[in-house]
Amino acid sequence: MGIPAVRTRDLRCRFAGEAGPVDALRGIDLDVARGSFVAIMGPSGSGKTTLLHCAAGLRTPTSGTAELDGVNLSQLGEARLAELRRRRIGFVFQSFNLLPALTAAENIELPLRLDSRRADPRHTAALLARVGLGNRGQHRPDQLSGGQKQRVAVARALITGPDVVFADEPTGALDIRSAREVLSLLRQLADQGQTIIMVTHDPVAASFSDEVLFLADGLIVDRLAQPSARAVASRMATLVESAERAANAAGVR
Amino acid sequence: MIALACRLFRHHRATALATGLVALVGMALVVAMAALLGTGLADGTARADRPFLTQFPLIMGGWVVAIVVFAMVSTVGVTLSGRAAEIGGLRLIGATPRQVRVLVSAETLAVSAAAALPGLGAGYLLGWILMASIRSAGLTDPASSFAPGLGVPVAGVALVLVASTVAAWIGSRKPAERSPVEDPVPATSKQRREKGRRVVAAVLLIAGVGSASAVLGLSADNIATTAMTGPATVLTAIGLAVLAPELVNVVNRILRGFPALPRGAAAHLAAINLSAAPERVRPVVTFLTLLVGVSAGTLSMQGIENQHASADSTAQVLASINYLVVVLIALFTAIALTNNLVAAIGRRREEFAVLSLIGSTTRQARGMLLRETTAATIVSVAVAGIGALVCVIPFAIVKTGSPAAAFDAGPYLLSIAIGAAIALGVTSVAGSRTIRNA
Repeated sequence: MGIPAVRTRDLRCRFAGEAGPVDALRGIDLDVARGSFVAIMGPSGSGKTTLLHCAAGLRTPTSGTAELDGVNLSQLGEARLAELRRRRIGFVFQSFNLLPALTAAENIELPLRLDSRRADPRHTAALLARVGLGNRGQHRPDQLSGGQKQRVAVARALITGPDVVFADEPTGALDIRSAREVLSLLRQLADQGQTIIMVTHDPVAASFSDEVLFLADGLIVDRLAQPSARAVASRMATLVESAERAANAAGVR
Repeated sequence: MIALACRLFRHHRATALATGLVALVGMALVVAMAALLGTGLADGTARADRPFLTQFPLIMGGWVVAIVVFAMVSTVGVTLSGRAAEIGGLRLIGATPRQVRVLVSAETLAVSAAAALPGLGAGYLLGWILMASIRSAGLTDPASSFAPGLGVPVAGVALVLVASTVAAWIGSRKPAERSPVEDPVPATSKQRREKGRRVVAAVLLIAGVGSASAVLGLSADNIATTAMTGPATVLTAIGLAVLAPELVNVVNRILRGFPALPRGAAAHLAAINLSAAPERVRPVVTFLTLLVGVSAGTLSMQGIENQHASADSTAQVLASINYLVVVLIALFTAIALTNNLVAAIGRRREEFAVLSLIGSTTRQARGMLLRETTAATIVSVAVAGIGALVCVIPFAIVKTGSPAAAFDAGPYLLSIAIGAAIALGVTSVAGSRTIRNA
């Protein structure tokens, strides 16, 4: 196995909260192998999204390192990070983040335009076909359903042939059927060798991944390989219970 | 990137309209001055008229360009904060802050370019009216006719296009640099910016008050008394307008001083909003301070001039030009004020929807908005009035021998009434509409 697609070492992130500093991440060591599909789960406030943002270079950690394909992100300036985001990382977010003025095809080609590269219409058409929207290229986002919008966002994430696709609650705003379509698509991509890191709170969504990492209070506390939805749900229930017990104990003290 | 900008601005018609209006009025004013300048440079113009017809439009045009840049920076800032999600999305997929700024500047240039032809036409008309009034007052030789040519007015249009693009570049810095995942701005860089802003305000205020005080060393009939006091009031007003965040803090401090006063729900919410989200009323304070400061200062100065100078036709025409300029600048700042208020209120739709869900009436929500604007209005007109007064006192002393003439309340009351009417009227109308549709 070569260099992992994503590697973090003793990653810590501290925010200024209203009641003093908050430690969102308290020393995360993570290796995500190329071509794997990893889901990150945890109760609200466990640090899932912060971990995703640090790994993707959207947030600078307080200490520790986050590497993408061997490149230490904390040593890059804002312009280099933006360049990295549009060349080597793909993003899929809960709120789709499509520009309403552009057609599906134009939205998909936008990262290339930002990189001053010309999009090959055949490549865009192939991507549209790959996400099952072969005939929707000229539609605008408001003419598409939620699931279709998210598939456009997935196609946009893939246009640059990224090392890693980061997905933050990609099915959070979708109905069950559309969610399943998007998750099957992500699974297919992973099977074809695409590295995917997905934050989710949905055990069913997590069950599409190769491995689930459980976060609590800024630490990785558990892992589950070849997860089933039932097993993920049961681990989550245990995790939430123990988090509540810890919170109550802190309250009593 | 330019093509993308064009696609995007078509999708933001309201935003484009706000920017376009500022560009249109700015262009009309600058082209009018350019038309007079063109006339001053034309071959057919009498030699004796040349100095006046070149100096006056150059000075006035310069001020108008400064105000256009100021209004455009603010308008771009306000409209972009309404597009934070879109900008954030672009940054997430890898747009650099620089690319966002290029995009916004290209959008602004495109919108301003759309205002170029109507602005040119309106400017020619305005220049013709100005020239006609100058001639009919006998200030220039009847042989000197309105001959603006094409080159100078078109250069005026180009100047405003450049000014709006530069303004968009400046105004988009903060929104473009904001992290797409809402990382709070590091306290140190925020403090540095705050400090920079205060230094700019201090420089403007020192220049303004300094220029006004320097008049004390001149004789009463020296034309420089007017030429120095006029710009002094504008500089002081801009300096105070730049201090808008501090002025809003003053309001909050005063309100905190009276916590025990019995308040209705609307007043209670307005007080909380002012202290929790002071940035919302800042544009109102900025433009109201500018509007009242410039108009009160200029009107007060002209009032003193009218009473104590010889009533010949030259003085009369200078007076009417001054009045016209005040009207134009007032109109301009009023448009910027309206743009900003409408945009700021429109962005609070969700908040009004929540208020309505938990049982607030339209009247209560509008009452809250009106009280916020009232607080902003009171502090703006007070500070702007004091600024204008400070600038006019030396002028009054030189012209009349005593500062008493500077305290004539008429110009102040008129400026305050106009400013307050616009701010409260727009808040009431835009507020009612937004609240009902929330």
